[in-house]
Amino acid sequence: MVKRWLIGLGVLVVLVLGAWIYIKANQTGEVRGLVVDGAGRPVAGATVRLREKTLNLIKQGITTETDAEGRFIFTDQAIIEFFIDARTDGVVSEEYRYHLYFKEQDFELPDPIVIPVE
Amino acid sequence: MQLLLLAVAVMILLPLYWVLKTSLTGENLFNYPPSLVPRDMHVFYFVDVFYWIPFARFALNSVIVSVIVVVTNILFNSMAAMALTYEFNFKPLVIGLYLSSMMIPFQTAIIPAFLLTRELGLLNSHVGLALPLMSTIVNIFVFKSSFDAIPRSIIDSARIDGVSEWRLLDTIYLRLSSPAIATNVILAFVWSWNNFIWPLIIVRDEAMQTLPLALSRFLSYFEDTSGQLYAFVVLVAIPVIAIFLLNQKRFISGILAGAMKG
Amino acid sequence: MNDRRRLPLIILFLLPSVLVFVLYRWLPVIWNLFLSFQKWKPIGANEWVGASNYVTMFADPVFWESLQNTLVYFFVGTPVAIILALILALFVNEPIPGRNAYRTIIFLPYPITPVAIGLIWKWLLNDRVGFVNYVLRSVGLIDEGIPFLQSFDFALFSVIGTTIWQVLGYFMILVLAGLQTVPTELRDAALIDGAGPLRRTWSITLPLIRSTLFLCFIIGIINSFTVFDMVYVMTGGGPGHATEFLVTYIYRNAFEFNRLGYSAAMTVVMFLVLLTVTLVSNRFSGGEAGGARHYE
Repeated sequence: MVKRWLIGLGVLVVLVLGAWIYIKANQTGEVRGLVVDGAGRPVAGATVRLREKTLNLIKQGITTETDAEGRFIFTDQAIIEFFIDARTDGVVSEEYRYHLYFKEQDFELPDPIVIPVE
Repeated sequence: MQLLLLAVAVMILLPLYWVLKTSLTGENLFNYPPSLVPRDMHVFYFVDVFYWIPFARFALNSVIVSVIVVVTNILFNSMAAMALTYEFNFKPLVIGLYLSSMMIPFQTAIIPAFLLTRELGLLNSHVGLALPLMSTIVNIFVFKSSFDAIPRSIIDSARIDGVSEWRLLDTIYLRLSSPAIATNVILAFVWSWNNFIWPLIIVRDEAMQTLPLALSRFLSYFEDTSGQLYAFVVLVAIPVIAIFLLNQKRFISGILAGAMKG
Repeated sequence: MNDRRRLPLIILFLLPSVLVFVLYRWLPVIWNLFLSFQKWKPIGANEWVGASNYVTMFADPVFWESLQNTLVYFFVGTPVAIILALILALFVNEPIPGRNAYRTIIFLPYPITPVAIGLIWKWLLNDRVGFVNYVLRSVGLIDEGIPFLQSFDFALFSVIGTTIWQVLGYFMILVLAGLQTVPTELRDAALIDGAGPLRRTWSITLPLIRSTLFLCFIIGIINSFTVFDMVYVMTGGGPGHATEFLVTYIYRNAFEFNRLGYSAAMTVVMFLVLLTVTLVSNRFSGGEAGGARHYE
């Protein structure tokens, strides 16, 4: 009977350790993504705005610009939940909302941000 | 008859199911009417609990205190039960003392307990949190029943062999009483894990809070009806529910033993 | 056979547990008594004020209200819980399918920490988004949500109801254990004699489990004097003092208002009332019925 408890405890320890290692390996605090237009072509020079959401409020946003291939990157982010959108030439995309799993998670936006422009 | 039982079972399960569902979906916090089936399950409320408060620290506190309580319970209670296997003049007095201690609820002792713990310099410490729970009458008698059931012959022959009393306790009494040990562990752990009023009284730093205390304070961080709160509730309740479900017979027999003694 | 020579060892073995009980049960009784005649000073020596704490107490309307609420819990909540548990135990005792499942389910709330139970029901009873109000509205019983925990009329019974919800399984298990000591031959004999189920239960089973029922009663008494966790998180004693119990008022005076002497006096009174009620019930039941504690 004691053996059962020990095995259970051992499994738990292994799981926690594994999770801890994974988290440490992926804690770069980067949020990256791609901005495309309505036809799927990457948009260069678009302004991407990231707004952190805490439990009770939404903070002021920070911005960055996309490069020639429409990619952007925010670094040193210590957040868990945020809103993100992109704009160019006065047209703005929808606001997307993401929730991370741990602090400073290295996150790549699963879908590109679409600015409805031709 | 069955209908009534079914109705009661639903009334018991529904709130629990509701809490679990809300912690995984959060839908009926803001939607109206609430729906029975969960949609869009996600674990983000649980993530938030770990992120926004030092949940791991609180859990650790609860674990440390409970471990202390369990270990001291096994030690102190088995020693007391063993003492009760002897015959001595004031034995009825001791038994009377134990039994009548059950009549004094802890809630009547909170003020002096606080002052005493303060004098001992144990406020805000794991040991201080564990102290009032380090021995419980129920558990002493659980051991006593188990010890009394051991055949006298084994004890006597061990003594003839020159085994010391401590070794007797360790190798014979305890070795043959693993159900009693299990009951002690379960009851002591659950009582310690669920304890709220004592941590409320003696914990001064946020970092030393145990889980029930942290749970009650959670409301001051966030609004009342939030998915994170119910994720927290689920996290606090799960260990105890798991222990109960895995050890039903022992749990219930321990509770019954405690109630019947007298 | 007397183990007199082992006395030092016996005392050593008894010492740790006895110490815990003396320090945290017996000593407090006496300490409270002394404290009750003092006025607490955080720094410096306390002042002896004779019986003034008691005088204040008897003139304090909140004290009487909290005492009243405690007694309501005791006289209303406990019998309701025991009767319900009795009915459930009688059903679960029958050989019906799933009886073990029912037993497990009904007992399930008991091991959960009362703080969690309180928070769960605080939300379920919410007047805007609570499930209870939703159901009441759906079946057309009410038009607007009832603010259960904020109304002077409903708060006390909501809190008592929640404690019953949690403790039902515990009482049911106790009664069940008592029922299982009833020899089946008696019931079978009654069956043969043509007694219906109701009569069987009333005349045969119930008298045989008298001691179990009184045990539940005594446990219920102790419960009503010690319920704290749930009330604290559900209402904190409010609205006003509608859900103030003796224990919560004692806690408040001691640790929020720093009136330790006054609280100690109330604790002395509470202890005496509890003791009296317990002893009277014990005598009434005609025997020993030990009190079980949940250390919650």
